[in-house]
Amino acid sequence: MVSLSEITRDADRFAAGLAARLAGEPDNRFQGMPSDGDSRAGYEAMGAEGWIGLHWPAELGGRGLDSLLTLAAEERFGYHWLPLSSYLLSVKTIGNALLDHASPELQERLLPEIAAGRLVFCQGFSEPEAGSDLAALRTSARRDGDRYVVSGHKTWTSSAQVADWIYLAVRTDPEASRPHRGVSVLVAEMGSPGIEVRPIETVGGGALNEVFLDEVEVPAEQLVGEENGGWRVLMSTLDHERVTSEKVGIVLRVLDDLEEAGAPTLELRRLRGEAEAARLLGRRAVALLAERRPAAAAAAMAKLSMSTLSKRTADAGTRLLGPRALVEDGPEAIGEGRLAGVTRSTAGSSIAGGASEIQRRVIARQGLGCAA
Amino acid sequence: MRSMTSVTDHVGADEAGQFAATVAAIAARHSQPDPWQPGAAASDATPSLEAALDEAGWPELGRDEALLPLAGPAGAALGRAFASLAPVDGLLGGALKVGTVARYASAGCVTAEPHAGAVLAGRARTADAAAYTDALGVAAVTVTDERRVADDEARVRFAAWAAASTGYLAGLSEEALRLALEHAQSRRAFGGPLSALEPVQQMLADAATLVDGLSLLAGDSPGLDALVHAGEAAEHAVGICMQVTGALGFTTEFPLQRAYRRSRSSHAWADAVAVAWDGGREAPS
Repeated sequence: MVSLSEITRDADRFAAGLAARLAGEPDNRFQGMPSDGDSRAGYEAMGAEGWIGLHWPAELGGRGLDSLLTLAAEERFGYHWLPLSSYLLSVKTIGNALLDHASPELQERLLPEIAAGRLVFCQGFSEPEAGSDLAALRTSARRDGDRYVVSGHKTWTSSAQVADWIYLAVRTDPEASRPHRGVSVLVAEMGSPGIEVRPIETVGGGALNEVFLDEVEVPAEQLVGEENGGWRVLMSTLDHERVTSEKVGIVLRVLDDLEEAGAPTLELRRLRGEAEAARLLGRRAVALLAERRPAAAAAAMAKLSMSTLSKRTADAGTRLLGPRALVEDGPEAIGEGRLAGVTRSTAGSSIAGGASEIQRRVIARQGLGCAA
Repeated sequence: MRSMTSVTDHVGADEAGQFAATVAAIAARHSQPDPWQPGAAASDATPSLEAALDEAGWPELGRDEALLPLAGPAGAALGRAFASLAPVDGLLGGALKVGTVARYASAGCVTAEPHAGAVLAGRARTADAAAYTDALGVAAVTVTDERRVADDEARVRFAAWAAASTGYLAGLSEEALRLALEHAQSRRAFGGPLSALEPVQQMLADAATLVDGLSLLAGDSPGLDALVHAGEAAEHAVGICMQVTGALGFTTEFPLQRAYRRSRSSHAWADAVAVAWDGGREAPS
């Protein structure tokens, strides 16, 4: 049995080596938050070297380990600044959700390909008029014999420009008594006729995308969970997404950079202590998810604590080091520009995967029992 | 690379839970009313509490490194009861001193001042009790016979103190949140409970996230980094609880103000101790 310290050490060694190999990729040079960056070569290497699906069953391409070990490995991936968007979407979020909700046939078709690092997913949830209020989504999927016909407009879709498949939240019953009751989840190949992707540049240094769907035909067996039972699938998918353990590593790296630049020990101790708390909140959520127990409030706490910590770390960098904190490149840059990049990108960390206000609502209502 | 601490290196979680339950029962039996009022030089030191804890083996926490995982949960049990911090400081082997002031100090007592990775042990020649925001028995002290203790014993004592202090702040914040939630769910305004109001929910969610983080830290053999975070986080969380309880929380008869004052004082002391432990050259911010 592999121990936590062994997997941490091995993941650290692998991530450091891969980061060195990817250092020349120009696309990610000014990607401020590595968890938002994409690298096909990086993703393929993770799959080829056995770092995808550590806790997935061996027959689906995984290694059958405890999911807490996956969490520890992801923290090291973040620490070494690996471009992780493809991994986080395909593996941590959608892969884990498929493991919970997809049919055995769909799992056998998709998960081994993901585990091998050959299949990248993007996630089509938000729409121009449905973000925090996800139940307002309008992209329609009309059943037509043995297929669905999907039309609509998704936006803020990370990694759509590189993805092979998309995990889609769609409306299958426009007449449902409450909006969330008419929602389903489908998976579709990005190469399907009728799908068009348009990138949107961001201040973080990477791109989000719009995804236009025009009469896209999706085989009915690519439904995830029950028809009109998609809301539960979506919420559980978000629980996986919200345990942003890789960001613990990202923050710890920036704190090491701050230490090297001479930041006061007291403030570094405070933020490292906060990172320990965020790590433990993530571990708790993952343990609940692994046992298939209610995890929404715990996952929301993991997410909220981490986005707060990212901002506080960026703020501390500016406060403690002054104007130099924002130098992005060259000899004056702190941590080869990592501090400046995170400072620029951290505004996104309290929005993506559910705004902090939504996390707080979930915590209050589902965790503390406050009335709606 | 910083290593990940295991939840229980030497002793099981059950053992930590059992000892914490013993401490909780003792704290409940020996709880006393708040001796503090504005302008008072007060101490909440409770000799009967300390005697009962001594009998239950509390001092061993400061002597046996293998018992470190017990210190956080045991400290949390004291914090939840808003009990005296004197037993926690006792783990250091003397009255905790930083600069010119010490807690639970009296003339002739042994003092313990963290400094540059060691503890300066001394004896208080004089101790002038100070009116203080918290009932910590704070006194301005002058010290004689000071010597630097940097051996394993001092290190184990300091680690146990830091873990128990972090745990104490976790327990204190848990209880403060419990009081605030109880208030928010029973007090009615705008046609429903306070807890149904979105702004109140948003604040309570922030407090709960901080408190759960502290509680998890308490069970994970917390060190000085965790304590420095805990001081600020407890102050923030309890401050939210004060806001949620409105004017009631601001009164001396409602217990929340004890947590409010203790979280503020603990933040100041935790930062000062960390600065001193690291060599004392930085001013606390």
